[in-house]
Amino acid sequence: MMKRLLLSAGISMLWMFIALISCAGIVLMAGAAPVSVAQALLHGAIGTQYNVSNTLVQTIPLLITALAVVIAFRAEMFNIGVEGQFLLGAVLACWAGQLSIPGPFAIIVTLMASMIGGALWSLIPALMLHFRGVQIVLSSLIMNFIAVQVVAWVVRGPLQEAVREYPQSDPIRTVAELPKVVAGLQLHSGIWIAIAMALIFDVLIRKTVFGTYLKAVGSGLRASKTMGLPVSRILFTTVLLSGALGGLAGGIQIAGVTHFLADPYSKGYGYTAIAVALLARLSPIGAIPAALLFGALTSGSSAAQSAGIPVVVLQVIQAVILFSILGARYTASRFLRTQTVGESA
Amino acid sequence: MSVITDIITYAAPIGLACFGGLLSEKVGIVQISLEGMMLIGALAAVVATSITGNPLVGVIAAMLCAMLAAALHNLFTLLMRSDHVIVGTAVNFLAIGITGVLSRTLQKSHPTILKAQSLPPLLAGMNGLTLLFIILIPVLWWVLYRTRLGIGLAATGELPKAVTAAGYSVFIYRFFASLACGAFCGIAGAALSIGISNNFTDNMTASRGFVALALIVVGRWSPIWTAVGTLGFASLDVLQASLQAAGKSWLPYPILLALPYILTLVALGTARASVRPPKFLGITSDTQP
Repeated sequence: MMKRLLLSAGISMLWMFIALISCAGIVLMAGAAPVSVAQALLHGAIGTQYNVSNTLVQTIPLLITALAVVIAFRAEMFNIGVEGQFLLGAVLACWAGQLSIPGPFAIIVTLMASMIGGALWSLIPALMLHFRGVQIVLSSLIMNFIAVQVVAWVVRGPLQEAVREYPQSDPIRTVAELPKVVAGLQLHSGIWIAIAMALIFDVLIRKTVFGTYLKAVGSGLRASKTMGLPVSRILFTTVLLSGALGGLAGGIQIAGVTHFLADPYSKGYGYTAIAVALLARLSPIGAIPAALLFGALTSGSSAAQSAGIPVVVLQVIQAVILFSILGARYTASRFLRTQTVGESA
Repeated sequence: MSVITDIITYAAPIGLACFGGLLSEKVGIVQISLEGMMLIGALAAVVATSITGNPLVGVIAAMLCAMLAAALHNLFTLLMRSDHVIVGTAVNFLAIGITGVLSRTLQKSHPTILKAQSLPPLLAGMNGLTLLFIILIPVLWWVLYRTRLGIGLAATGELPKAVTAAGYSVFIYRFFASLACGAFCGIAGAALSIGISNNFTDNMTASRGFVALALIVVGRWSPIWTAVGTLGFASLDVLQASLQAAGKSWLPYPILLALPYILTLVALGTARASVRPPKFLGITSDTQP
């Protein structure tokens, strides 16, 4: 037992080391000093009160979109369309946030609208899978490109600001905004929603019948069908749930951070979410620290830019982290001969 | 006449990437990373052409660099048996990051390195890579459906056990098909950066690799139908660009931009239900689908 623990710790250390060396190599290749870049990243992530708040603000959409990926990937539904669902959520939230709805209901309606937007956007891939057997991984991805154009269209058409000068919408009403956590800082109360979602989905996956179904479908489609599980219905629900979460992330971004819609809107949260979810080994609770890490990286990378490193280096770090996880899993399964490190994902 | 040349020229990068993806899907490897490998090829082609002044060197450099990315994909999918979609996603992240970092770094020391001369037109205003795309359509069909190699490739994706029983190596088929996919994607990237354009810009593939993935399904894993789909997509693209240039459009411009994607989605949905991907597509085990 002790030996296994040591071995598994050793494997993790080894791959972390490989990841660090690779990242340092890339930084050197970009002609900067790894140590000063690391310092800049760290300062940008947690150096000041403002930077900590920014890290958390970046974490919120990442955590929620990562949960959307977690739930879908658990059922082997490779929904890589979270980006598009995020965008559609933002569009509907922006529309609903401008309706004149009395006080406390405004924020609820706004967030509900965003979830409906995301779910509707994922409904199309879900229907295509159900009726035509089209792989989610393709259809949901194509929906992303269409979503980008939908945003481009609404901010020049139906949702454009009243003065019609820039391709952006008017701000949502103040009552529809999410309140700030600390006065003077950007951090908004969407952080509580994000954490609550992680807890809810953890319970959903571990303690409910739906969670058990999800696990069954994810580990063997044919076996689940043979056992008489309502496979189509489970997959359908999963994809819609995933889409609703993606939409919620977009709605929270509108209600909490930007308050209006612009083109282009997303920083690619929906794509980073895939890396976050995999880093978390598809665990909703694990997604919290994983999203925090990527939130810190995002916040820090803008500071690293002043140290002479382009922001795209973040993509390299993401890739290195993903490859290291895959490598660590492989080594662990070879040497420990069991699946102690995560489930098959 | 020039419209047709335009369409084929625009179809070439997507079509070449399609052929790469087709080869790799035939043997059962899902390549989400077509996009990333194209991007790597696009940068390599521009840089090598700019240094040597010879576009042919650029094309070869693009092939080799993209094959390196394919080898990385192989390392994780074939040796470590990781999930193909996850590895492909990681390769795409890596490609966007590396090309972004490298292009900026190179440009800092050599300001003109991201500009290179385009491939010269060879025949009817089409460059060598566009012609290669046209020639490959029948060639690939012949290789896949009329040769021993093609049958071996298809069997690897449909029933790896049979390939092993016949004394061939599933690993070798997969390894080299995936490398070939890398080479095709590299050429596709070159067809974009020194074929259509004459420079490299960030993320210049603009999701053409993902479109190629969808078109393979639309084309039912056949080189001919895939090429037809690609030409259809390229026609819409050219139409959309010319409508925009003429400034007369009865549709809002963003919707026009989304039109090729919407129609790809429709085509995906209408592909006959009897059409199915290779049985072992994306399966990391050799014995159980």
